[in-house]
Amino acid sequence: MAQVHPLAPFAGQFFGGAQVLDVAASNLFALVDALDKLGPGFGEDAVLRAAFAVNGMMQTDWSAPLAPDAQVMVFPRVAGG
Amino acid sequence: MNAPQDKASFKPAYDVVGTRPVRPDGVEKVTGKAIYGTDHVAAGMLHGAILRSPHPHARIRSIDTRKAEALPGVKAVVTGADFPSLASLEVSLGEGSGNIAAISRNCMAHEKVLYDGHAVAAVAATSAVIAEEAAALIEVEYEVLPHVLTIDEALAPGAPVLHEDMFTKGLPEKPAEPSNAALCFTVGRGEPDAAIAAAHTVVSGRYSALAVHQGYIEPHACVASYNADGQVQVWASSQGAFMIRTLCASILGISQADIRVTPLEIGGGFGGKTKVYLEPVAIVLSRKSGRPVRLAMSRADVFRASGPAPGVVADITVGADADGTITGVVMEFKMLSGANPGNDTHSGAMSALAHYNVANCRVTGWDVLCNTAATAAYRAPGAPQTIFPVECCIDEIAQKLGLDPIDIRLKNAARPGDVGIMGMPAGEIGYAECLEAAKAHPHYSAPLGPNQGRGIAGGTWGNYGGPSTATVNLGEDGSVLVTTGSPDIGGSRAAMAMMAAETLEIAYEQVRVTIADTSSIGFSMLTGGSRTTFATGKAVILACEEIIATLRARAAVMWSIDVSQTEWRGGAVHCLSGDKAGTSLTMGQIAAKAGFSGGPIAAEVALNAQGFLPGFGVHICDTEVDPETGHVSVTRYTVVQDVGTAIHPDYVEGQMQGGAAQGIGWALNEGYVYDKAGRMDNPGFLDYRMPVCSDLPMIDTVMVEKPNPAHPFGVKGVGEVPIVPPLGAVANAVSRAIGLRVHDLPLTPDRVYAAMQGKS
Amino acid sequence: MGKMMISATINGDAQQFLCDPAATLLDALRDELGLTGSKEGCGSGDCGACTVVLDGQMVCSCLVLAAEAEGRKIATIEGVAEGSELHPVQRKFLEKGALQCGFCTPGFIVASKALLDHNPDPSEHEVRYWLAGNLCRCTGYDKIVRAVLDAAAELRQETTTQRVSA
Repeated sequence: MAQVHPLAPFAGQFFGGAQVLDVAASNLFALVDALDKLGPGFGEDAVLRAAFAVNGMMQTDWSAPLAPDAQVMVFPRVAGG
Repeated sequence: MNAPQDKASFKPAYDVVGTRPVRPDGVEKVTGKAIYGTDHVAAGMLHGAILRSPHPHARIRSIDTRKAEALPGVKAVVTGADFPSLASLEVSLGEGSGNIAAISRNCMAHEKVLYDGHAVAAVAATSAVIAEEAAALIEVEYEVLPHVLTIDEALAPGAPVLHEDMFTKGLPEKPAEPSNAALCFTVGRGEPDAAIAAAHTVVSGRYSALAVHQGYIEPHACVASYNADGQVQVWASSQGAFMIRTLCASILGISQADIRVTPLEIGGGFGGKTKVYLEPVAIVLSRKSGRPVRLAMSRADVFRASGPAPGVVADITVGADADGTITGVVMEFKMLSGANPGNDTHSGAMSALAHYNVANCRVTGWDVLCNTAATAAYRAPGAPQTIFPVECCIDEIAQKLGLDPIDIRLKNAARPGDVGIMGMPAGEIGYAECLEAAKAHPHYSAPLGPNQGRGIAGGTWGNYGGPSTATVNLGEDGSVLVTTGSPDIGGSRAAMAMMAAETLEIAYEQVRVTIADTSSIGFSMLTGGSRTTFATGKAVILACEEIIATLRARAAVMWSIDVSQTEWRGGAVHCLSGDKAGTSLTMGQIAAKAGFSGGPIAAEVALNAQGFLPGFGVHICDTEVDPETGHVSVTRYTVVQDVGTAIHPDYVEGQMQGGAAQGIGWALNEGYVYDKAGRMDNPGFLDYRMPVCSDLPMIDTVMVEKPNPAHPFGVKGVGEVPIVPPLGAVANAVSRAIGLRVHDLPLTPDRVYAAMQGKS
Repeated sequence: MGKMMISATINGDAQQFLCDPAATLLDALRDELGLTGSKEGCGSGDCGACTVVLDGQMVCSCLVLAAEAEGRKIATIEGVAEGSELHPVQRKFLEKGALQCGFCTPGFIVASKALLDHNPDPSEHEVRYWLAGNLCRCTGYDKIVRAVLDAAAELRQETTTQRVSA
């Protein structure tokens, strides 16, 4: 199971303020699908607004394999200049 | 100056990377041949003009265009009614996302105008003079609405609301009423209130900075040509030709394949050219007139209607132990984002403490709307505004505890492996190395004169990677053509050529680089987020590696040996076995026989670059304050930055110097000023005072090169970090020069003088 | 009102062009003569991107009426290089990395050449004040000032060499 740590605003908006969620997923596409079942609407929002870090590295390739014990942070995407 | 000697040891030796060749586009730019936004001419081109609102907030009751249309020479007049009425739709724009309806209405108002300068109608005519004359003949009936210009006004009970459908996001409950607060966002950890209550030393304050403009010297400009078959060409100066294609296609409901955007040379952007303003309007004018149309902003248009960076008000409290360890931080800031929700609140909150280890902290950001131009990204968007209060407070704690301002930062600095506020362990970051290099720099120990003070500040920016495409083609003579889709805003063509030359082990001059139009190369995200040399550079390097593999395979066939018996060295394939052992084939020799083997030698790499790392900087600023006027002069300035590997050191230094100068301007001179009617009071370079040559000293640079392990040559982004520290560095220098702190930027002479009078 | 016919010497060549009475010299250079090297950054004489030399005087061409050019000599960025031979100021801008986006560069080069034409040995202070009418947002001016000082040094040496050899 990957350990998912949703930060604001996702934790409050979709997951009832949960700090940690255990999700079985082989990559971030599967993880987003699983999280969308836990918090309906997250999947659509994630495409537009979410950034993911896997084991401390930003990961924008959602197809990259996810280790079973991955630590995944979810936070708002930011844009540079 | 180069990196300190002891840091040079882990840097591999390169032949091309790290040298300073002349950029490939240089001669065109010093001879006036380079073609920028308003230099492109299409056959039969019309000239456009835009009518802009004189009111900061008004409902459009009616627009009568008949007189304008009747003027001889006028070929088209358009208003919001000529644009698709879009539902609120968000599209992914690479790093962030955007609401297409809001973007469209910012290009051309529909029901309401939201700021002084908001476009309400546009004209295309046979000359610019006729177009301007016709625009002035358009009659707009406005119902003027009350407006808000400041955070206090925008959030006051009963304040006029810009968007009736906007409810604050990020609160535990959806508010009952719409308001001008678009977003509330909090990050943090630990028990900051308790930590501050128990701290040995506590400092606090309210800090502010005004909205400032990116200040690129080239106004926005484009030419659009709509053909009867629905195919469109756009020539524009921007940070992303693909960004223009995406947005125009979405706003106007056109297939992306039907829009070909050719990037012209770009005269500065700094984040401000990551949006569309004119291109959709020019396309609609061209569709209506059947002719190509040029639209260009005046300088006043640029100030009034294109994106400033948001102003900020921040309340901050910082607690520390007696040894200078920062134990707790609470900050609440409000960004003034203008007419549409901004993008700086998340990044501001996440950047504020990203360069320190703070066990207990809470940073809350609010995105607040008002009747000023919709803000745009500006170099490390959000970070200068939130790091400025943090750096001022750390300086005050150092003074209270009698600590050296670099030592206190070293004590608290984020280092590799430290887990930051976002819960992520830091990678190979170099903040501590920057602080050490700053401390060792002669500037730091140089004596100061009377009325002078020295300020230190640090800062960081996250940088980015993301999608890029590059192709590499060999000419029949073996010369190398690199093509990318990343507009070159400050010398990146040189960096691409250098990385290609280094990979292929050939001379820099053998490689030429083209920035292609959107129909001639695959997608690349815009030039922004300090991503181009990292991400597009990686695509170029990988494409060159594919070229090497192809050349080795071709040579192996020509020599009748296995490819493993070939070696790539010095830009040629060397034969290691068989009859031809010891001989070699150059790129030209293999390329000349391409028609007898597998055909043209080419490679394309499209990737989504991972492994980007944040950059860090430390600035040392000396100021002298005139006791009779309060005027602040910057007398000496040094920029220290972890740049990863500097591919072309001149252009890395240039980014550091230019970012510092912009930050100095933000700290000392610049700011949006409005009159009571809500009209911008200083929409020109005379009154909006950017630093000029005589305002600044030489800006010394120290490149600390701590390579990024995720890039073949160790590249980290460099463009954005250098605008982050100057606000704090200048403010800290002034506070030490005059013996008290001024919390509000810009530090204009009247403000500084008043503070000095208050003290005496 | 109809267009006016103006005769002027531009980069050494006799030229004629038509212009509106209200057109600026910058408009005429760019739109009538196709000399788009001079740039419009502000239209109010504050940024210097349109700098040209008019009868030996450095001016912002956005503040001069095209009609005022009648019978006069105008030097623009397009005439700074001698054929394919770059002027030392141009070469030093390239060698020192004194440009990023390059939009302000033509104005800086025309202004810098004008400085060195009448003051071959300027101090850093003099360079900074001479160029204070030219805005650059990319570079922080450091490399521009160094390029101008380097070009001045090179030009002085060349002058000295020529004098000796002659």
